[in-house]
Amino acid sequence: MADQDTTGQVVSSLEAHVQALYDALERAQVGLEQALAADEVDVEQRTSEELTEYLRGAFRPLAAQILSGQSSGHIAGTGALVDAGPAASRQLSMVWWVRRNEVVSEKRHNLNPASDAFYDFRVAPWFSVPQRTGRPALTGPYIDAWGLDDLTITAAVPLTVKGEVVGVVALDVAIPQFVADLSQELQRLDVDAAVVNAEQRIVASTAPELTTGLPLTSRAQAAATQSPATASYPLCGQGWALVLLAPEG
Amino acid sequence: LVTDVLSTLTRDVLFAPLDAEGRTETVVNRLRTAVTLGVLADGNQLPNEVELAAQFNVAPGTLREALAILRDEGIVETRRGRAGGSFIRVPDSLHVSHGLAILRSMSPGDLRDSSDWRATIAGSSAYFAAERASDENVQTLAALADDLGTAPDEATARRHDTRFHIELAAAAQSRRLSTAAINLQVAYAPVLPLVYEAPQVRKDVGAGLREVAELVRSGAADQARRLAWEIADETGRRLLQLRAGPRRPGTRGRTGKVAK
Repeated sequence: MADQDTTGQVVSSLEAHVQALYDALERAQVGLEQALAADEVDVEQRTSEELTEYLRGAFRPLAAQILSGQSSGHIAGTGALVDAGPAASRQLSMVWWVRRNEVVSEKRHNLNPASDAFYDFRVAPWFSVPQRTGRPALTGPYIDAWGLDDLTITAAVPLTVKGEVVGVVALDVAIPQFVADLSQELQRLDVDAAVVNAEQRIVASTAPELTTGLPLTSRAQAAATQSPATASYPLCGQGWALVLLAPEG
Repeated sequence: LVTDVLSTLTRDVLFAPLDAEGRTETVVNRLRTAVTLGVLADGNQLPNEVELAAQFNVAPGTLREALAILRDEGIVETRRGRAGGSFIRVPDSLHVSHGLAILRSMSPGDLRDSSDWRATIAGSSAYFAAERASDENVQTLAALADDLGTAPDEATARRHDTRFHIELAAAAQSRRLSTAAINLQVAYAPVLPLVYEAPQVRKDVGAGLREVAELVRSGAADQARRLAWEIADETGRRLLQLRAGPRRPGTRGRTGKVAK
């Protein structure tokens, strides 16, 4: 059994990694909300093209800051997304930047609902949860089809204009670096351990077969088998937890 | 900060440079596919001819020939003057006519091979999805299957079909399966509207894929794999028959299920 002191230290280190994501996100959120207020942008009155153009200009420097800042090694992409406008003609706007091989580039998504490749972010929990509840979200690991087309974790905070949530500011976690750093923290424990999300999916683990993205127990086993977790410590407010794993066999 | 624009994988695949000898017909097919998949939407302006030719790695003359063919088909409209340029138009008949053109450009062996590959991706995706899918994946799959069953036309049915299969690969938590499924969208999806002209086929395939979603929900990996594979295989068989056209009496018509 891991000793309580070490476990406590590991929990704090893991939480610090997650908190650093939100710190970066909240700076961008504040920056964009201030710009929208200062420029008196009425998101309801602008067309999707106009709003996208505005967001592109206002968020570009914030994206550059996030993707080249201090804790940027854990962040692969960031942007702002809005679903607002008169009920009859609600329109989607999205701007997004990614870093690949140390180069930051804008990435365009397909927002045409008649297209096979339509990136319908309204149904993604990282968008719908902050928009509905005004609370931050942490989604994944999941495969972001039509977006990154790779395994990712997305963190998001609401974007509020005149007291109304109109969208989100979000970031994609750079999975390889983030997972490697979490795994290194887990190595300090003397038993196998994993970081899991709210639906018990592996974020990082020291157990060889439990790779990022897999459920802790498969769908078929979920009901029948006992969970391999022997103890669970909550991390941050998003349902993530550190779980200690029973030895195999 | 560099502001190069990256775009979706589908777009990257469609606009990838052609092999050594890019032919007019290949450029026409790529652009028509981009329009039928909605990657180029009604009213979108095409990049200028020099840029587009460079992107496809074809001679400017080849691109001009391709645009002339698309203009005759009513898919590209060229306006002169200051606000001029080439714009996309989407005629209603495009999905079926383009589907037939692509179907005829494939040999029966090619078609069989592509269908086998699609069934392989679908089956493997279903297997891993049954072990790994999130509840949210399952809900999306069930909704897409139902939408396919009640789709009002062949183009909408095709869209729900491809989105179902790509969601299935995403639910498998596999980047490689997702990428393979998206590549198939470009290589295979243009012919799918042909099988979905019949409302009964939309209904049957929708019901079948709904069952796949339920098998994924209950974690029945082997059954999910088998059913997803069979549905894709049946679509492949329908396409081979469509490609062959009406059959003479006394020849082999619909073969039905082959013994397994």
